Amino acid sequence: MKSYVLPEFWVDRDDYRCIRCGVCVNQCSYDTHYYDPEDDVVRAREERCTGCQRCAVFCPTNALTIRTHPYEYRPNANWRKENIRDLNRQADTGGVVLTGMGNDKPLRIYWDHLVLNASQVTNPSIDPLREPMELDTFLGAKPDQVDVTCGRVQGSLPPQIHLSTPIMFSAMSYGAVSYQAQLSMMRAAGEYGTLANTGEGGWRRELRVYGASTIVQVASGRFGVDRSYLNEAAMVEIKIGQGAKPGIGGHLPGEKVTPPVAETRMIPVGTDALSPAPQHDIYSIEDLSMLIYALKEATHYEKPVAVKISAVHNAAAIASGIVRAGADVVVLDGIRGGTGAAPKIIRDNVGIPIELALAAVDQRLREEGIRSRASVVVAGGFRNSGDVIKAIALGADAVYIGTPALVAIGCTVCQKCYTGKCPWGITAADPRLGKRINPDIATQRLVNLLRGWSFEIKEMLGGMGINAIESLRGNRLHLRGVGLAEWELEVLGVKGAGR
Amino acid sequence: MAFYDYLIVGNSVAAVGAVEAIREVDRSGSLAIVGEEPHPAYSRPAISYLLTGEKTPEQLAYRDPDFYRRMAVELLAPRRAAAVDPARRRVTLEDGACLDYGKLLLATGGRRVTPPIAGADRPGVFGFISIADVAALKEHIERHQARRAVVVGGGLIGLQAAEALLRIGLTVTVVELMDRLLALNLDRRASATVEELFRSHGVELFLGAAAKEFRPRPGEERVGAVALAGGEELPCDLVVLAAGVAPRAELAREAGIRVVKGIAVDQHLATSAPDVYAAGDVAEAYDFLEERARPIPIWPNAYHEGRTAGLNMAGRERSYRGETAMNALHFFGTPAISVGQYDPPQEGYEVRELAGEGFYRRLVFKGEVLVGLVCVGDAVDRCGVATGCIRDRIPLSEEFKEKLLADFRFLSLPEEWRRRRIRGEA
Amino acid sequence: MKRVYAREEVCMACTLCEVHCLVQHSRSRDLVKAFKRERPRPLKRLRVEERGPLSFAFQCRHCPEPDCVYACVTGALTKGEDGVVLVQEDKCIGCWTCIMACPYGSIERDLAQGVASKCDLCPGEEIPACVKNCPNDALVFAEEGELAWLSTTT
Repeated sequence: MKSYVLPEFWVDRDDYRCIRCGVCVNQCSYDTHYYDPEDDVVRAREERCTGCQRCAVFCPTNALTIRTHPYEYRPNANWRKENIRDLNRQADTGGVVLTGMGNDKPLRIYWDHLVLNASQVTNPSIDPLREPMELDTFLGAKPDQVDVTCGRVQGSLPPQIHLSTPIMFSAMSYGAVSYQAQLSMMRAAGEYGTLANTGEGGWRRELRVYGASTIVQVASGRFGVDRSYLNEAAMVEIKIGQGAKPGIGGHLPGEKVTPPVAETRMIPVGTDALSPAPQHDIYSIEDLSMLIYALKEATHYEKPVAVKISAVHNAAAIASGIVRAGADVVVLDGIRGGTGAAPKIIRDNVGIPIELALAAVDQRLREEGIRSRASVVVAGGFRNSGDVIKAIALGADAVYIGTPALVAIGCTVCQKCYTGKCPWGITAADPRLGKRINPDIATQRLVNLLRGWSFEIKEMLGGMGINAIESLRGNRLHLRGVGLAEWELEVLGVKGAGR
Repeated sequence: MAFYDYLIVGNSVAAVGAVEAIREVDRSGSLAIVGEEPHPAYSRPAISYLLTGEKTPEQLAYRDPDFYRRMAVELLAPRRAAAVDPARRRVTLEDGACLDYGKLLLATGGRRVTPPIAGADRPGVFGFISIADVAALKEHIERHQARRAVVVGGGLIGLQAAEALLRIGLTVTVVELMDRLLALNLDRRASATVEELFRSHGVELFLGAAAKEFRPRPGEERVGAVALAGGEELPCDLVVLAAGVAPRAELAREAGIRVVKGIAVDQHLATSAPDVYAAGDVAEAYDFLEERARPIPIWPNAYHEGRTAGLNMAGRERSYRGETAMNALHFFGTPAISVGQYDPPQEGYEVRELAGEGFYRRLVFKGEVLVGLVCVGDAVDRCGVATGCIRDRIPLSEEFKEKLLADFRFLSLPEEWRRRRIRGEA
Repeated sequence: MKRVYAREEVCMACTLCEVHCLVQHSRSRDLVKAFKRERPRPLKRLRVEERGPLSFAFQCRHCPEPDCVYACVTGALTKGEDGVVLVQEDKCIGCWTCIMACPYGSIERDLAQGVASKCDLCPGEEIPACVKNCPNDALVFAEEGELAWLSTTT
């Protein structure tokens, strides 16, 4: 059937600069470029181009410009290119339109409507280059009171995880990301003193040396979960939902269940790996509590247990239940959270922005007097250190970053993760592509990301006259809203700027 | 009378290999070379370029002009050794000089074999293995305005001469005893390619033909025709006689040193006489494929032998790793390479071939191991990878045999060997 | 001596090493001119081999005891004091004995000039062009003794 879908991108090749070296040809995993020996020219099949810019970055003579395809339909505020395109794709296949990465719709990004405070005259700002500045963060339930006798804490505290910066790498499973990508995140987390999350796809044996900086996930498919999986990690996370696809499960087709994937997931080679939409043993907070305590038993009460949910309408009430069920950490994943594969219609329409969910959950837990019983971690759409520090001020203990980590190692957010052919080797299933990530280089880039953001956070803290991130946590007086409606300010718990 | 810690008789590639090896170990020991030719060591396989005028004798030098000074070598040339006395550690030269040595290397090379052909000593009959041969040939051509040449011997040297003669405008006929050219260098199919090349360039070939007599020109002493055993008579102005070379082992034989075809040597290239070594075309070094000692008169082997001898002479014990027969030829711009047992001597070998336009490749396996190869045309590219397989006896499964046949590259080697090669562990 | 070593686990066969090697050995040292103007076209001195997920770049090992140098019939191939094996093009007669001898297959035929062509480790450059331009550190310029870390990546 003739497809009516027009190419999304336009390959502009400067023929004077093109030396026919073939690098674009070999770097494009979608076979966009090809060499025509008869005419001695490199051509493009534009309909294949995903706009990932791999070729443009690697072209040694900068001969390539990949731009949005200039085709135009009759202008229509309702029927935009994207609507027509998705509809055509669907008419071609009759299937669900898939996508990757996070929601790209112009939903309000509240971070861009929140501004930070700084010290002027009446209280001094602090220079982080001259004075100590702490970003140390501890995840885990905090006791209501601590008995200190003769300078020593009496009794034992619930298990705590120390982070040297309040930034962790979010759950990205082996299979969704390449082995090299996962290895790099775990290594970088270990080097910088933070954590990386395995996702739900199991945990490769070779990666267990990074256990002290690894969070393992227990999701509805329970892939790769056994006693050692739980005990060799620093923390265990029960995944109920994911910001990019609240309420639905996952499906890794059998052809992607290669021997290493099968071994890691503990399923037969070639079988479909189904993650059910719900956890079939959890239909209530009480059921959740049973799983939390089962995991605590299995890990001898030595590891914090986290529960991750999608940020949905009644997130606050659910979070309250999670804390009461015994979780040490509550994780909220907002509507802009990324994914390796999700139905586009779900990604773009289900869930609520993380800023509002965080404010509501923090507020609710405080009101109920149980905020200290669990840490709150938020995920979904963090783009820079400003977003992170605002989240801390809104009440988060730490954040998960996914997309920024991937961008640091090459991702250009082309949203084609679900094809398994990521030309950057990040979400690639093909070992030929996975090699494109040199874990040494990628680890360095990730450590650089953490270092850069951490330093910026220290600068901003110093500007506010604060010398420890702990002092900012939930301190919404350091935030003001700009351009927000009254109800939004109320949910966020911040004053409008000027007030 | 002079004394040298190291004395080398012969001044070609084996001598140079020995000098370079000795100087790696011993920078100060006294070292002399007795050479019968007036030139510094030169590239014998390239002498045909002298004939075509593409190179001068100076340009043929095997090492830089400073080589002998740099290596602190006293070059005694042109002088010729007359006798060796191992008991007194003395070499007597034809001019009567006596040279005493600590260690002696006999690297006297090979000499042209003269078959029993009547008139082989007639003027106008030339060898083709030295600068002097070429100079004499050239002079003859110019003096007599020679137009027609007959080359007797369709081996490597004869064909090099034939191509060079053709390129300077002579009409050339080649007479070969065997039924094909290069019978000692290539397999039958590759020989056919070379025959076709020569024929297409206008060279007449008489294969399976024996020269019976070199007949004079009427009223002159110099050669005027080659009579074949079959009755044909080939009129000509000159003959190049290239019927092979044989070790020049007389010095050793007369000194009571053990000689078979060439001088017998052990794994250190030492002869039966104490402190006397032999290397190059005169020696019978170990052939690792044939698993026996035999003279293999080829340039690279001579260097290896000279080098091994030199190291041992200088006191660094080194066993000869063994070489085998190999040839890199090129005629009319088409290269051909053969290594090892490319023509299986008996049953029990497996031959695989791949041929295309201007491309021929033949691999011979014994069990899992590659033992021989022939490549013609573009098939020669990277063929050392296969030579390495032969040398290292790399076991090749069916899969890798096919891969190797298709492409000489590391991906055609088993993983362990690929890794070793990449790391440079030859 | 320092050599170029390949790390096949991170080589992605982009062939940028070949591109930059060619340019380094061109007269203009300009990407566009080297590829499009210079005739005969300059040659690259290393090769990328690729099959399926496996790939690596490879060039001369500059062997301690180089078979090519020992086999060379004209003395065109030399191993210098610095250990670098070089071709003296005016002495090379294109007999390809070196190609027959090199177990690494690291010498190529320069058909335009009829001489052997091989890696010269980019004289005058601190780091060879292939290593400097490898986007994924799949080539390293190292002493043999520094190689242990090469295998630690995966």
